[in-house]
Amino acid sequence: MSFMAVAYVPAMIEDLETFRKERANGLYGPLSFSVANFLIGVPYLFIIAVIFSLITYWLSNFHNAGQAFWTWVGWLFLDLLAAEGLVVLVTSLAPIFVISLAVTAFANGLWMSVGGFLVPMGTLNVFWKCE
Amino acid sequence: MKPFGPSCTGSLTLPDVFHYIDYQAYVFQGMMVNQFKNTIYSCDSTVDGYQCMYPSDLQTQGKIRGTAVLDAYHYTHATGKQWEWVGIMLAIIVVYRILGYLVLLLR
Repeated sequence: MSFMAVAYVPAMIEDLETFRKERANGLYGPLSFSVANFLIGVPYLFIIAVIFSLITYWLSNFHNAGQAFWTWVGWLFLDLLAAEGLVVLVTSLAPIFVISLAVTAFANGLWMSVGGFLVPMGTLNVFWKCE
Repeated sequence: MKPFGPSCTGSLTLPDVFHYIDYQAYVFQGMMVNQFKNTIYSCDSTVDGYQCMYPSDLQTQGKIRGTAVLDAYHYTHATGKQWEWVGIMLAIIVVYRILGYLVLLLR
């Protein structure tokens, strides 16, 4: 899910083009853009988290309880918020489609590698995790 | 083997830092705890009893307590730890947003 946040890159680049024009006209500042960009994403990310979970949660035979389901949705929601924050940061740094796509994909690949998901943290090489 | 010298006894290495700023790590840990903290699984039965992949206090009944799975993979499941992870997640989100704002401000 967080990997697919790279799909936001092209839309974000278009938003940044508009932002650059409006800012040059003195109509719009970076703070209002950042706040608006965050707020507009929140409800949609929540809807995405709920729809995805409704389909896959029981499909994967996860813990069949209401509280567990909503806890899961909460984690997914936080994950998407963080992933979107990363995309916005990277795209602002490098507003070129190929570069921001590559950097975001690399970052997510790195997060997956060291996140304890592919290799549990207990067995991960000491190079990545010292315990 | 310690690739970065005495790092394992004291300071963090660069790869360590990657784990601790990894939002996916906290989400995954939270989901693992959510799935295994209150669940009980059945073992396969064999001719002379049960074959349990993860030994727990329910082994004699042919069951696996979910927390045994978490322990086997070294996932912390102490109460209150999940809220700490939620806090770290919110902090990561805020830091990304502030950095994004600063980039826009300075460019």
